[in-house]
Amino acid sequence: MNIAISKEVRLKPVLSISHLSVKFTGGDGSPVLAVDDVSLSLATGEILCIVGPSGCGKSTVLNVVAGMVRSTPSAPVEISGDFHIATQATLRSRQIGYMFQQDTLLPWKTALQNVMLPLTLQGRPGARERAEELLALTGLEGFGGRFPKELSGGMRKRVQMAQLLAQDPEILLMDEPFGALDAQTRALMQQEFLRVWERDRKSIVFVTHDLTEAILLGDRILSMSARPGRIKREVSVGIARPRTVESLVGSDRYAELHHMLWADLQAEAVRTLGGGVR
Amino acid sequence: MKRLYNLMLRAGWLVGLILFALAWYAVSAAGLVTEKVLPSPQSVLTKFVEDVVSAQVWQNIGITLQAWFLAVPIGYACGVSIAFALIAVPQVQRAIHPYLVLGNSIPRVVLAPVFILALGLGLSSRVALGVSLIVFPVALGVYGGFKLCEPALLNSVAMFGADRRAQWLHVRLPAALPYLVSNWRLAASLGLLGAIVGEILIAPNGLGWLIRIRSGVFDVSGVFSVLIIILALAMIVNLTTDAIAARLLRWQ
Repeated sequence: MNIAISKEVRLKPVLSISHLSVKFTGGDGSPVLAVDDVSLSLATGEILCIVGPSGCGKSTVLNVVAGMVRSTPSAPVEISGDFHIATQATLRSRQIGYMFQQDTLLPWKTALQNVMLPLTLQGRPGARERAEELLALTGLEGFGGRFPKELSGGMRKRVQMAQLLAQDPEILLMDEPFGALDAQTRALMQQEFLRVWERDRKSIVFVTHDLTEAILLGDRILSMSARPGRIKREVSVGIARPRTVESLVGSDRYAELHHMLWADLQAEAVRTLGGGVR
Repeated sequence: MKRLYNLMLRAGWLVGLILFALAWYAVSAAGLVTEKVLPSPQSVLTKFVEDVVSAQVWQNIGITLQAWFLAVPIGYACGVSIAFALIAVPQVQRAIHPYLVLGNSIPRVVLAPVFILALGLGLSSRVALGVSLIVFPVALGVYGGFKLCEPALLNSVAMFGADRRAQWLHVRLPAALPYLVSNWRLAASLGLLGAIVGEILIAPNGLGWLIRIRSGVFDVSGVFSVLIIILALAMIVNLTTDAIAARLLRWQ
């Protein structure tokens, strides 16, 4: 059944990147190839996870798609290749949502005002009611009047999620969104994220270095090599949804995928450290 | 608990003030320092009570307030506008930032005679002095505040569809609010400095003039009384700023 879905959606990718290469200028002025010939496509309603060693350029891929990599005279960036977003809408018309690892809630706005922000910026009527609904959906009923500093890390992530739902983009880019949370809160947030995602099945590119997270959330997983980032492997997860951490960790497919992806990561670590890691 | 703590803190301040007055009294009563330098607290208090009911003193307070309350908003508005231009137009930043740093590092009270020559003995020369004191540090301070803005926050609201104006409204301005407030405090104290210094130097009226006249006739208690009045004015302005700032910065 899973395969059937991905076959159907493979026909109309909502986002496709072909032969993307990104060259930065390093600290000493020499060019640094961060991303090398990366091609990928994201199907409608799919979660595509990208894993790889830190510094492999996986975040750079997201940032380029989001239009956040800008070339300046003092720090020139060379971007080649192509990406195509299959909606009539372009980037600036809010069709792409981005969830950062950092806390991006505005500290001077309450939780409710933060969730209302994308709605008011888009001039949608009934922003307040909608924001209240979304806070309730993410389990924050009654916390709308709190400022971010009055909320726990997990609660702030929920507000961020509600904010993205308010923006209601076609494509979501998530850059290690739960990376800064403690292990328990992270597990809770993953479960919460899946619950919310099951409702409207947004198309998501999810960058992480946590293999369990990638297997739990992803329909497909791309593993990237160390810098310069290339795509090393693409696998379909093929585990039926809804998934939970408990049911997942005991399964054979999980063990197989984890083993395979871990081997990739380890090989990369060995390569970059010159065999220093055994 | 917090209430009790605040109450005790305030009581502590009061005790400190009383101890200070007692020590002052002891020093002057023991005759350790001559009346010409340190008058007794009683004589200062008597003079202060006299001043508070004197119409002439109130007139002078009005004169000083005029210069002060003109210089602060003008200087602050200019400083903030310059900070805004620095951050919004990189060419402006490159062209004038070094001059601001230079201007900020010279002691600008030396400009007082220049302003008096150019603008006369009236209010305008004192306001100009106050403005010149305020503009440089406020421009640099607020610019620093604008610059500190977290890029991730700007990126995040840009992804929500915020244009440049909305980015300023929702992110840059509120992020700089603590700096806007602290520089307002700075502007208030420098504006008062400008007014008083201008009056001490040459003005025909105002609290600074009163200090000059009284010190000219060795009325030391009279000088101290004016100092207390200035202190009270500064405190009122500061407390008002505190109250407004507490509202604006509730999220901190």
